[in-house]
This record gives sequence, structure tokens and C-alpha cells, in this order.
Amino acid sequence: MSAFSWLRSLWAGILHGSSVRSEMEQELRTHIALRADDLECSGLSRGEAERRARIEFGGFEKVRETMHEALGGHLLRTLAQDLRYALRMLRKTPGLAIIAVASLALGIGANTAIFSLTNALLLDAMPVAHPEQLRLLAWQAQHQFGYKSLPMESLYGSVGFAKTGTATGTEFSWEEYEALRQNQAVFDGFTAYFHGGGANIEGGNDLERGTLEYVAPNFFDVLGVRTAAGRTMLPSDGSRGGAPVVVLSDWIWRDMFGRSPSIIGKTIEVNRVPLTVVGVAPQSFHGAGVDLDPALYLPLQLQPQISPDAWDRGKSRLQNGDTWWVRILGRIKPGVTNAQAAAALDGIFRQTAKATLHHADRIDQESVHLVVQPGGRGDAQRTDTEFVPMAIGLSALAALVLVLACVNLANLLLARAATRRRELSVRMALGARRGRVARQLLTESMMLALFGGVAGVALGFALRNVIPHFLEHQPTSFDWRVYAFAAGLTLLTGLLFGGIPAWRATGVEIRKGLQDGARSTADRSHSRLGRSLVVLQVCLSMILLTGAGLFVRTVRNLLDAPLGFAPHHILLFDLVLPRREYATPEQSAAAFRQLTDRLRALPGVEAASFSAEALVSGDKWTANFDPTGEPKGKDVACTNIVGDGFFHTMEIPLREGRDFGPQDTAPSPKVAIVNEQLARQFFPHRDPIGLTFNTPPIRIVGIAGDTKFSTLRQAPPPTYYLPESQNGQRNAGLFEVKTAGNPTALVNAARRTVRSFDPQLFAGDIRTQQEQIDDTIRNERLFEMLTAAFGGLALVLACIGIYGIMAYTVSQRTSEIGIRMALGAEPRRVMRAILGEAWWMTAIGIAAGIVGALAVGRLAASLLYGVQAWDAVSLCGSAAVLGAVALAAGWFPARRAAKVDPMQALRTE
Amino acid sequence: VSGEAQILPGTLDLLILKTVSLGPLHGYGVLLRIGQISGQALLIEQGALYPALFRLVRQGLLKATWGTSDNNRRAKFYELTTAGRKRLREETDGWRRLAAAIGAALSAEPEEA
Repeated sequence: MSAFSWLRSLWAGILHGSSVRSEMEQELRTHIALRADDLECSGLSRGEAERRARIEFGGFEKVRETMHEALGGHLLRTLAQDLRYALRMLRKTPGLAIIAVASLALGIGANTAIFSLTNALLLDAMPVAHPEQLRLLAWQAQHQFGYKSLPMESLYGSVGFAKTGTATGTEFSWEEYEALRQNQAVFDGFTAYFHGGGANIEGGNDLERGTLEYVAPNFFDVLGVRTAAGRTMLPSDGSRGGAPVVVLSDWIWRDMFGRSPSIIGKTIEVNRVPLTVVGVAPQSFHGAGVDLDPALYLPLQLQPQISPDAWDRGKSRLQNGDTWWVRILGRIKPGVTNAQAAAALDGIFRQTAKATLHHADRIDQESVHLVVQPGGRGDAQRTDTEFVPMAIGLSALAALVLVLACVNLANLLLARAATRRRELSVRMALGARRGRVARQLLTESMMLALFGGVAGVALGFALRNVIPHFLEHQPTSFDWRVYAFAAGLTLLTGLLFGGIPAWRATGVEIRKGLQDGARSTADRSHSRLGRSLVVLQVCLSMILLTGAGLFVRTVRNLLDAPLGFAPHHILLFDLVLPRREYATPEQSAAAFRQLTDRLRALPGVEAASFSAEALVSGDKWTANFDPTGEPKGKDVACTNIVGDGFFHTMEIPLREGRDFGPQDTAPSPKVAIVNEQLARQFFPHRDPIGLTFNTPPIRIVGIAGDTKFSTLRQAPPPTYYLPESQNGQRNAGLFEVKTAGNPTALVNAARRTVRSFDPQLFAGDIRTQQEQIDDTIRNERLFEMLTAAFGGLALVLACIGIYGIMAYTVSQRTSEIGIRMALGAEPRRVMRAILGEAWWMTAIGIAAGIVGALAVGRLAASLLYGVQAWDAVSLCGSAAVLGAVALAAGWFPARRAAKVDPMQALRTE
Repeated sequence: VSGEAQILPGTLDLLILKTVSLGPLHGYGVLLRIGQISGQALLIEQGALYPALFRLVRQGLLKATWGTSDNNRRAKFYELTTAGRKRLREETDGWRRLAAAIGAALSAEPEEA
């Protein structure tokens, strides 16, 4: 058929569709009448003649349908017909429709929410001009001893140690940045930044806490980001002695200043340093990464002034070539490859490193070289190390739930198709072809899928911020990729759970289908398929439940692991002292001590102290540990600077020696307290008390009990504590307040105490020690919550599946059961037989599920703590719960079978 | 019946075109005429006829008009269009060539092979 005639016929079909169709029917009727006329002539009665004519003609429906198909627009018309019919069928079985739509909505919703996160984390580039041209600089070294053999003395960032023996980092010293910037010719733009951590922001009578992004003055221009208001930074803003300026993020502009344009030119204070607002970043921009949400953008040169760090020991990082902290982004010139760019810069890089590093010899020793990486996503470090495994795990989990929902629906539809066998047989006897009926059934399931998909997207949209919130990630956006994903998923699920039942149901033999109460082989094969689906369901549920068990136990184990200190009743808050008023170390030390005394005097406070870092904060602060008389720069240990009464407040026991005391003053000999792990590791056969380490020498005066340091997972590392009285020069610290009762009751009192001490100070980020700890196990908690929720859902679906298939079996076998009971079978035996069947399916499913759960457990091993994939408690517990649920789900149909009245059952036959 | 023959696929259209070329006919008439001119040797399934007629009309080979049958029933009469006549000629020639070729092939003697 030519395209033209097809179009013409389509047009005619749309325009005159109904008249063409009635003409067709008229013609067929005429045919039968003419044939009947002839038969009548041969001597038959009129009625008999018409009957014979119709039989001879055959399937009227089939002929009509073939002709209809030849008519254009056929598919559209039958689709509309099928949709109407499908809606009618769904209205007739609202229970099924609700279960289907609800379970699909949950499955698709969970997948959509998780995909939107994955999308944002793994696929999004930064919202800048031509992100594909951006490159992130990195260095690579052949490492031999981990951190301690790296050439630089301090490093702000994490180093990736690959199994191949290379260490990779993306931080550089300020001098490296300057040298590279001035001597490079392969980049069109070259800029640097540093994620600066939290700070207090004051302006317009409002106070916020947010993270700072320190940037080179050309940062916005190189990225091609235009400000929403005001200007970007000028080169003079960054130069030493230049005006202190700041660019606001959109959320700070909104939350603190109501998006008022008049903020440009005004002054805000960051950690009490006044800065002039020159511009506002656009709403879509979130700094040099896809997993950040900084509050302010400031010139890198302000870092020593605004975010002084205890570990810089009063030295500006801008002048310290041994502190590697800034990250470098460049816009590569067209046609230059990464390897060419790296080769062009490597010489300057190595030359500068040798000139500025204390351990310059290591540059050759460890073969340190510059490499150029893709930079369109910024550094995305948290993404790669933390979110990628997370996203894969979550996606797998959500996919499992969706498969489960599909299997469940396939089973329900299969059972329902069986009850509709007579209807389908009648339609096929009238000449409807198999494909046509299958299409009708598929339309019904696609409609269910569509409703489920729409509800799922709505659910996903509602939940889109829940998981990012857990991960402390900025809210994800729903873009076309998410919608395309949800649409594809919906289509796939509809085909998946509707396809097999539709094909199976239309494969019946018409004659058998029409026999009332027929027990055909097709019927048995349906039950077999249905049973395999139930087994699959139980298997998937087993995997999810075991996963839930493993994560619940992981979180339990993490929380039950001995900490080495008492986290209950401890309130924490940060304090930053402004440099202007507290200029000397003596002034800030005095302020810390006086404030501690005031806190101790509060009613309900048992003890108070302060330290440089919180315990179990996720951060690991390490420093050199060189026992006197041994080679230098060989080992590192964790360290913390603590105030008076720290061990008492945190209830860390002193095993030997003495606590810090008033005798430890700035001029007196330097002292330290080490933990037992350090003593065991470095002085296995000696009493460490009285020994010294580092230069100038620090004398060990006591041994404290071991405590968890940065995370709950890590065993207590070797740690040494230094007294605050000998290690001043600090303007920031953390207070620990131990209360008699609930620590949150003291939040207001603590806040007032700080204010009354100095009205321009305030207690930042007030939290309990327990909250601090919980923060570090967010990922485990998220998995615990999701596996528990998904496991519960799986249980409900398995329950519906088992009940559905058993109820169906019983209804199909009613007459058989009736005969058995008429022949004297006891109700109890009948019940046992039915229950036995449910048990078998469950047992096989559980056995298969154990295998699956072991495999999944191995994959998730890095997220587990204190449990193995073959954890007997989780496996047995899940098996027991599933078994009980299966028994309950099978019990009702079994009881109905036992109550079959033989007379009634036989009569319906 | 031994005299009956199954019609080859694709030949139904040719048969219909030939039958209708002898004079306008309604569907039932086409059926009867095919039986008549083939000496009742070719029987056509009644259900297959109408889709074929419909297809030929849509291809522009036949045209249909409503009229009245001998026994006064409203029926659709089919007749050949110019395109239909041309197609009939081509198909008839093609069929004859094919039949002759197959006939020759089937009558081949063993030694000639």
C-alpha cells in the first residue's frame, strides 16, 4: 500500500469512520441474507436457511475486525476502546486497582526519589559556562607509607591511596598556585578555591551559620558565572591589603536580607570581621562542586584572618609552602589534551615544590608529578568517596522493591486473568484474535502502571528532599532526566507485570475455557507459574528483610561500641573569638577559662571544659609523633588540645600518672597525656611516663583510657593530648558542658552565659555529644531506615502474594475438596494439605533468599559493622518472620477449604 | 470432494479481478461466480473474501457502488477501474508465464535432468 493511499484511508477513517464501519456491516449482512435466499430456494425453511448461512460464513467478528484493521486509524480507535474497557474493569475490581497502584507508586516513587539524587550527584555538571572545558589539577605520588611519607607537612583534604601504589590529592600550596598561574600557557583561565568550613555570619540584626567558600578573585569570571546582583570580585579585592569584600550566596541573600538589592555596598560581619558586600551569586550556583551549598564567597587572602586554624599555629597559610590547601581549576585551551597540559605544568610544579617544601627530597623519592583531571563537576570529593557507593546501594535497594511490586502484580493479574477465562474464551470464540485480546489485557495493566507511575512521581517529588536531607546534601532538582527515567520505568513495569499474564491468559483452548468449571492443563500451568512467582517474592522479601536485620544490627553495634568516654549529658557548642578584641594568646586563653568557670557555676552543670576538637566528629586530626631518639617524620598520631578538667568532664579515666594542672604553664616544660593505644604501639616494653617526643621535647606525664577518635567504626587510634595552657594562640574552640539531667534543658542557659560574658560572642552550633556521634553514622542510619521500610513493604507484598495464590487455588479446587470431604477426608487434613503447600513455597523462597542475602551482604560489607553477611541472627530472624507471615497468609484460605460444604461444592460442579 | 483445490496464496486477488472484469458483481455474486467459472473446483472461504474486496477498493483497483440485487436486496456492487484492468492484464500474463514454467519443469524426463 502506498503511503498516500494509507494516509487517504486514515483520513477517511477519521472523517467517515463510523459510516464506513456501518457500511461494512451492512455489506456482510447482505451477504448472509443472499446466501439464505439461495438456501431457502433449495427447500429449507427461512429460519433454518439463515442459521446455515451464518454458520457457513464463520466468525463474523473476525471478518469485521480484519476489515477494520485495513481501515486507517484503526490502532487509535481500538486504543480508545481498550482504555474505556480497561477503566470499566478497574472500577469493577477496586481492591486490585488500589493494591496495584499503591505498590507501584511506592516502587516507582522510591526509584524516582533515589534516581533524582543519583542524577544530581553523578551526572550533573556545575551550572557554569562550558563545564566540559574545566580541568581540576591534582598531584600524584608513589606512596610507600601512607600519609606520613607524603612530602607536604600539612594537607587540607583527603588523599586517595590506590592499590596500584599511587596517592592522589587535589590540594596545592598558595605558592604552587601562584607559580603555576604565572607560568602556564595551556589554560585560558586559571583559578583557585578552598572549602573553608563553618562561620558565623551577622548582618541586618540577623545571625546565621554557614560554610565559607574562599576563592581567587577571578573565580567567577573563569567559571563564567554572572552575579545576580552587584559585581564579582576584582583583582584588587584579593591583593594583600585590598578591601575585604564578600559575595553572598542566594540563600543568605534570601534568608538574611529578603533579596533586597540595597545590600550591595553594605557591611556584614563574618566571625566578627567586617566585610563589604559587592555582589550576589546566582541561585543555581553552589560553589566549586556539585555537593556543596556555601553561604558566602570570600577572597582566599582573608582565610588567615577569618578562619584561623589551631593547626596553622599562628602562621598564615599564604606564606607557608608546606601547607597544601587550595584547589585549582582551569579552563583548558581548545585542542590541548590533559596529558599535554600536565606535561606543560609539571616542570614548574616540581621546581616550586622543591623550593618550598621542608621535605623537598621526597619529590623525587616519591616521584611526585602533576596530573590534570576533568573539572566540570568541581572537586566532588565527597561524591566520589561517600555518595557513589551510597547511590549504587540505594538504587539497588529501590530496584529490588520495584521488582517485588511487579512480581506481586503479575501474580495478582495472573489469578484474575484465570477468573476471566470464560470471558476471554467467549471473545476469542467470536473470532477475536489472540493478539487483540492480549493487547486489551496489556492495556489494562499499562493503565495500572500509568496510574502507579503518576502517583510514584508525585511521591518521589514529595520525598525528593528526604534523602538529601539525611546526607546533608542540597535539595535535588527534578529535571527532564528524572521524568524520562520515571516514564521509562513505568513503561517497563507495565510490560513486565502485564506481559506474561496477558500472553498466558490468551493461550487457553477456547473449548476448554468455555466448559463450566473446567480443570484444564492450562489451569495447572498457571498455578505453577503463580507459585514460582510467589517463591520469587518470598526470596526477594528474604533479601530485603535480612538487609534490614544487618543494618539494624550495624547501627546497634555502632551505638553499643564502647566509646571510652561518657557521651550522655554532654552539651557541645563552638565559640569563635574575634581577632580584634582577643588579639593576644593570653587574652583568648583567659576568655576560654573565664567562660568555663561561668558555665561550671550554672545550676544543673556538673562539669565543663573545652578542647580544640569534638570527639567523634568525623574529622581526624593527626600530627607528627617522633619519640626522642628515633628517626624523625616517621610516625603520626591523633591529637587534641584540651582545657582544664577535660578528662573529668568527658569521664575519660586516667590509668597512670597525673592530669594537667595549674603547674603546666606556658613557660614550664611542655607536657602531654597519651592514650593506652599509643603507649602499647610506641612503647610496648617501657613505661612511657617521663619519656619525651617531638622538638622541642614534650614530656609524657599521664596515660588516659582509649577513646574513639573520629568515627565509631575505627578502633581507638594512638592519641596524645596537649594542655591548652601551653598551646595557646587559638581563637576558636569547642566547649563541653556536662549536666545532671537532660543536656538540651541547658541550651538557653549556655547561650545566655556566653552573651552575658561578652555581648558580641555567641554559642555556635549547639548540639549534644550524642547528636554529634549520630551525625557520623548518618549513612548507616539511612540504610537502616530504608531497609527496614522496604523490608516491611516486602513483607506486606509477600503476604498479599501468598494469600492471593492460596485463595485462588482453594477456589479452583473447591469441588475437588468437596469430593474428598464427601469421601470422608477430615477438615483438618484438608487444611494441613493447603497450609503445607504455602509452607513449601515459603521454604523454597527462603532458601533461595538466603543465597541472595549472602551475596548482597558481601556487596554491602563495607557499610556493615560488627556483623557478617552470614549473620545468623538476621538470617534466622528474617526466616522466622517470613515463615510466620506465610503461615498467617495461608491460614485463611486453608480454613475456608476446611469449611467447604461437600453438598454445596458438588452442586456447583 | 476430490475436485476441490486450495487456492494458492496471492491468487485470490487475481481471481476476484478476473471475476469482476466479466461484469459488476456484489460480494456473494463474486463467490458464486468463482465457483461457476472454475467448475466448482475453487472454493473460497467466505470470511476471506470481504477483507480482500476491501483491500482492492482501497488500492484503487476496484470501485464499489450501492445497488439492488436480483432478489431486491441492497448490495454493494464491485467493478474494475482502469488501474484494475491494467493490473488484471499484468497479473494474468505473469500467472501464465509461471504456470507454463512450472508445467515445463514438472514434465521434465529423468534423462534430460
